[in-house]
Order: sequence, then C-alpha cells, then structure tokens
Amino acid sequence: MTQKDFAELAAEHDVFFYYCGYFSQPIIEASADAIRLRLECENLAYKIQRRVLGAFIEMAQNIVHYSAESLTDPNAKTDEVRFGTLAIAQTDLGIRLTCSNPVDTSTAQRLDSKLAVLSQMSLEEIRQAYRTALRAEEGEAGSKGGGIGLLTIARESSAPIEYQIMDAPNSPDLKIFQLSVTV
Amino acid sequence: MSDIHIPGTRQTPTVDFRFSEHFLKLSGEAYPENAVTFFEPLNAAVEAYLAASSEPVNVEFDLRYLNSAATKMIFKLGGILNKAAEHRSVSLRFVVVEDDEMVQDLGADFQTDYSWINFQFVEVAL
Repeated sequence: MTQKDFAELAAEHDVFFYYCGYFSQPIIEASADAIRLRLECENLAYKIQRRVLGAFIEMAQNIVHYSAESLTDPNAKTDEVRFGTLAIAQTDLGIRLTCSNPVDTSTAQRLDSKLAVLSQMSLEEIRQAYRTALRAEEGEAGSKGGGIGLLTIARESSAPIEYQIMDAPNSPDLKIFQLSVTV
Repeated sequence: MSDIHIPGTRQTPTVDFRFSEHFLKLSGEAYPENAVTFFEPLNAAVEAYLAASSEPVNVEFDLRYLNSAATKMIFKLGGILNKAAEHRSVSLRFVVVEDDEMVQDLGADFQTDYSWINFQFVEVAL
C-alpha cells in the first residue's frame, strides 16, 4: 500500500487520528492536545468534545497499564511504555474510537467475561454499575485505577460498546483485545 | 501541619491546601498515569488535618477533567470531608462548566452520598 493509498483509505473511512505504537503518559498528553485542537476546530458541542477526550484518555491509559507488550519492566509502577493502537473516525452515528492491544490469555478471559456482560447492558444499567463501582472500597484484583475504566468508557457511549478478542499472529500465548465505542 | 501547594500541570491539578486558613482548593485537570500515587498522600493529609482541628472548613473544587481513577480518588476525598462534616461545618463550592456532564454527574454523586457537606454548585461558562 502506498502512502497515497493509506491517505485515501483513511479519508474514505473518515479516520482523523490513527496511532499504532508505544503509548506512554507524555505521548497521551501530546495526543490529547492534538485531538482537543481538532475537536475545537470542528466546533463540536463541548459535551461531545469531553466524551471523545475522556474515551481517548481512558483507552490510551488502559494500553499503558495493561498491554502485554511492554517496553518498560512490566512490574514498573510508573513511566510505563506499552504497545497498542488507537483510531478515531467520524461516522454517521458519531465519533468512533477503537483501541487494541495484546493481552495474555488469562487477561483475555477476564476481559471477555466482563465485556460480554457490559456490552449487553442498557445505558441505565451501566450508569448504575458505574455508581456502585465508584463507591466500592477496593478496585478489583489486577486493577491499577479503581476498576471503573471500562464502565467510564461504556457510560459515555451512545451505542452498546463493541469488543473482540482475536488470536495474535505469531504469538500463541497472546490474544489481541479490541474495543470500540461511539460517542 | 504545613500547607500544601502544588502547581498544576497538564495532567495534575493545582493543589492549594491552606490548612492554616482552613481553606482547601483543587483546580484544573487530573489524568496522571497513577492517580492513587498522586492523590493518596493528599487525601491522607486532609484526613490528618481534619482529625487535628474542629474549625469550619471551606473547600473548593474547580475541576475540568478527571480520568476514571482520579474520579474515584476525588470521590474518596469527598468521603473524608463528609465524615468530618458530621462534627463541624464543611462547605464545598463545586464548580461545573456548563455542558460538562461528567463533572456534573460527579457533583450529583457527591450530593447523594455526602449529606453532611454544605454544597454550593456554581455553573460557569466555558
């Protein structure tokens, strides 16, 4: 595929942000600035701008915290750098954010169980689950932030969130986790 | 105990805890890589301050964006303030930008759970 092909493909699908690579906190801050600027220029309602930015930051920080492909020591508690992808596109239904990252098989199973339920919940059920999780004393096992990241993403969505867990090419111990939300 | 002043950054809020004046303010955005590391010492300091005094306290939150982990830590801070508010006056001026549903919702959660705090919700334009 030539650069022109890629640019045309992106334009055809109205993708206005695509990053495939290592994510870190500084990269997230800079990308958030770029996305913020773009959304301001589009004159979108503040409410929508906030939802897009919120979903982006949650998704990107999930990659930094949980992706199985880590440049830094996986036990590091800070300044982590991990691999993932994030795409943002304008669709007829709204702005669609899609993220993906490799995960180990036990994480894949945990995510599958959690998201199988979450993707079937109504908005009101999601909001209620969020309120409960906000008040929970401890986050769930394995959580680095309190356990309400996925609920936060789902709460902002205008349609049921979509996810996929796929085999990772060349890595039998890994799966690729992909999540999409439309705001 | 000493006042805490931490200038804000793009991803952490300005912390202006004037314990000596019984005034605590948090403003800006909060999406640090590790919200627990950032907020836990601050929440602990507020808890220690409240345990050591019985003066009325004025608090102000002017928060423009919080990631999910920061939201949870701020909610916990609300719990600390509410517990103290059972025994002395705790006033919270909660600023919300119009159309900022996420901060509005957090305000609603505070009001639902933290009935001892005297709230003042202030809506500001962008």
